[in-house]
Formats: sequence, structure tokens, C-alpha cells
Amino acid sequence: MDVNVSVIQMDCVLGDIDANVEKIDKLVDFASEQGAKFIVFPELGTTGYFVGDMIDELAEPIPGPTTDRLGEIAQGANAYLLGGMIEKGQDGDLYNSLVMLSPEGEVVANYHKVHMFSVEREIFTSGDEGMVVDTEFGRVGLTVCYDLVFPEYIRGLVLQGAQLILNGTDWITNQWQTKMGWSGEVTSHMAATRALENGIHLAMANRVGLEEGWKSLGHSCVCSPSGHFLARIEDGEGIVTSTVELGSEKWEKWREVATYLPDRRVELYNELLDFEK
Amino acid sequence: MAFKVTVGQLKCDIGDKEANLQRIENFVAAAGNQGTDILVLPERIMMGSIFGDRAKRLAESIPGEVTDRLGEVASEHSLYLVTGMLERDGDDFYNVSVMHSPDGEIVGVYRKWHLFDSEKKFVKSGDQPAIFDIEFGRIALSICYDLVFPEFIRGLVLNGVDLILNSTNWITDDRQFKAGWNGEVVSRLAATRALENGVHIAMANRTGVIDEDWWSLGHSSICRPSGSFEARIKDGEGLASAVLDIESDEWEQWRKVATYLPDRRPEIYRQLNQERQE
Repeated sequence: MDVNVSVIQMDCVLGDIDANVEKIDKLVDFASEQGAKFIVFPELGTTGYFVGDMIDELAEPIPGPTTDRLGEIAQGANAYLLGGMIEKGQDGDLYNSLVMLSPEGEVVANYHKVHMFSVEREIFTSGDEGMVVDTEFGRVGLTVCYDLVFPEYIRGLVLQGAQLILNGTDWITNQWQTKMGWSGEVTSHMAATRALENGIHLAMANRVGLEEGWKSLGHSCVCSPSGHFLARIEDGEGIVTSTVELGSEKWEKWREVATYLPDRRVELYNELLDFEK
Repeated sequence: MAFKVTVGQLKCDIGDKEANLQRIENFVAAAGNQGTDILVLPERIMMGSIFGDRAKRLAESIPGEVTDRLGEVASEHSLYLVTGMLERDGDDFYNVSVMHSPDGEIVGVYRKWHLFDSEKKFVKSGDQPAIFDIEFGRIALSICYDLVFPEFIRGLVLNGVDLILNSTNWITDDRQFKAGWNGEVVSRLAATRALENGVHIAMANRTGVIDEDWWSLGHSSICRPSGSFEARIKDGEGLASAVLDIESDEWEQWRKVATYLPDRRPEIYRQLNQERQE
């Protein structure tokens, strides 16, 4: 089914949930005018990333006050709204979560980021399962940032039937990493390759701005099953929208030519390359 | 140890082995003059991607006349030479890349694992990886479509490979081009394989028109572990080189930051791969 997908690229006011949710609200308005039915904002978009000691006061239960407000925004836009926030679980643990609100304003999914990067693992408890969600438009797979680095993981979500992978992220760099070649181009190329190798659509919403000396890389994008950018912002705040044709004849035909999934040689990967080790 | 790797982006005279061999010899000489240590050439560069009986008549025995000539030119210019061709082994045919040493010896032959479309009717697929230790590090050979499969490249890297060499002939026609399949897409694919595994990749593609419908996509690339391009040709014939030091402190440092391999969670992948829900 044809459905419009928007990715929000934004800076955050560190530690100010009200200011960030207000910004999300305004950008969602614009996405809604473009007919978006899936709207994605970045990882930890309600708080910013390097929140340090503020984390205990910023963490919230899901559902909770912030998801209530995001639910109203989703309802106002008549769209699924997905984005990142810091969750305080019932167990008292902190999670790097991607929450999904329905057009009715309900929390329909709450994904806990599976792959922790660097010091994240000292702060957050990692999730331990992949998540796919059925909607009237098709089956979507939820991911956060670093999850996208792991082709095995995205492959698994696709084998579970995901037709559209949604990623809320905050890819960042410093001077040294930039010198080594890590850039917004690189992250968008990775997103496009995940779409290509799996024959699915993918939308990635990234941050911009500076926090604690780290620069967010922008380059939010919507990618087609042919590895092509349907929409992409480079730098700056903004929003881009593209129609993705889930299950359309056009892409069914593409997958009949690009027979990547059936052409895998799983038994050889395991036997000869110890792929699963 | 630093060394120079070069990718050669060539046209191919369909069915004219002698013309192709002469072109290859010119490219090897040019790469040798630039101090190349490893030269990678495209897939099936001796005859082009022709199929059926005509291709079978032109296929190579390995070792044979063609690999002898390639060995001579590799030793003359003192470089490792990786060349894609069609192999005949009795009644069987394989899409292979052959690696010659700077002494002119065959280091190894890789038979392509992943066959695309009509290739399946015509050649047999290989079922052995081609991993070699040379003085510059542990290298693996791969051909074209192999690069689409992250599991395959990951498997090579889990076996200690530092540098992936890919001989390819990515092609397109009008319909695929309109759907977004182009040279940019294939070079991004190569760069992402380098990134997700923290290794270097050198991919040599063909260029030029094949027939009235199909053309080769070029965009031969040498990619770094950070997913960026160390060297890239977009269109046309040519050579692109980069000096790599795959065990340098700089890249060791990179892998300490980009801890992708140790951060994998195979137990979750296994679960996702097995328990299909509908």
C-alpha cells in the first residue's frame, strides 16, 4: 500500500522535554500537511543525548506524561508517531526506547534498543528482542541508531516480515572520527545498503547540532529497495517526506529480479565460515 | 606493512580474448609503474558476460594458456594480480577469480558462491572460501553478487580476513536504472561492507556498453573501515590506487572505538532468523 513516511531532523534543547516536544509538535504539523502516516523523530529526541546527571529526573515511565503528549500529537496528525526517549521501566532500569504512538494516540509499541554503543551500556539496560509491528499499511520493524550497523539484525527483522524499517538515531562524530572518514554520507550509505540488501524500504531520522563537543551528522533519509534515496536532508533542521509503496507491484517485480533473500546460502555461511560464532 | 592496492576499471571486447588480454597487459604495466603491490581486475574480463555454448568454447583451463600469460605479466611487474574469468573443469564451468603472485605463480582460484539469475543455468557455484595469507595481511577473494550478502562477507571477516578483494561486473538496463540501481548504489554497498566489518575492500568493476540494453556501472572503489572511500573512479576506464596499512595503529584505534564485531548479539539474530511468525 502506498503510504507517506516523514523523517524529522532536529536539534534538541538538552534536558528540556517541553521545548523538544513543542518542536516535534510543530514539525509533525508540517509532516501531517504532507499526508504522512509514519513520522519518525530522532533517538532520545525528547531530551537530547548527553543528559548526564539529569537522567534520573528526565526518565519517565511508558505510558507516562510525555507519551500522553506525543499521543495527542499523533492523534492530531492522524499518523503513527515514533521517536526516542529515556524510559524508566517498572523494574527501575533505564532504557533507550523508541516509542510508537498510533493515530488514536495510544502507545502501540515500546522498543528497547538492543545494541548498546560504548558507555551507553553503563547507563541503559539493553533490550533483548527485535520488534516488528503490524499496521494497516504493512509490517514495520523498529530500530534505534547503532542497531543499523548490524546487518544480521536487520536481516532478522526482515525475515520476520518487516517491509519498512524505521530508525530513530543520533549518529555523532568528533574531529578524529571525521578525519578517519566517518560522516553523514557514510551513515546514509549504510541506511541505503540495508534497504538494498533486504529489498525493503527504510526511513532513518537523525539529529543535528552539537552536544558536549560531539556533532550530530544529519543526513536523515528514506530509502527504496533498490538502495536509492527517495528523500534525504543533508544538514540543518527539517523534515522530508516520501511515498513508499509497500507491497506494490513495482517493488514485487524488483524483488523478482533482485532475488537476494532466496539466493542466500545459509548452510554454507554456517558450515564453512562459522557465521554464527 | 604499507602496500599499494589498485583497482582497474576496464572495458571488455565481448568474445575477443586476445584484445582483452592485451588491454589487461597494458593495465598491469600501468599499475606496475605506479608501484602497485596488488591489482584487482573485474569479473569475467577475458570474454565478457556471454553465456551458453559460445562462452563454453572460450572458457579457460586453470592452469592454462591464459593464466600462464597472466603469471608472466604479474611477475614482470612484480605484483599480485587478481583477474576474473570463466573456468572450464572437465564438463563443469565456474565463474572464478584467479590470484597470481609477484613470482607469477597461482596463489589460488576462487569459484563464485552466489550466482545471479541465468548464471545458475550455466555455471556451477563454488562452495569453498578463498582466504590467503600474504605478506600484507589476510585477504579473501569475492566476485560481484557475493557482496550483496552481508553474511558472506561477515563470515570471511570472522575468519580473520583484513582485506576483501571483489572482481565484479555490476550492470544495469533502463528499467533497473529508473528504479534507482546505479553505480552510486554499488559503491555505497562496498563501503558499507567495509564499515560494518571494520576492514578494507577493493572492488574493481567493468565500464562500457555491453549491448543495446545493458551497460556496466563503473564506480570501482577502495573503501576504508570507516565506510569512506580511499579511492574511487566513477565512469570510464582507469586505475585508482591507495596506500593501505591495514594493521596500522590508526585503524587499530578505529576498531577500538567502532567495536562492531564484539558488539554483535548472535543469540538474538538466531532467534529472529528461526522463529518466523505469521
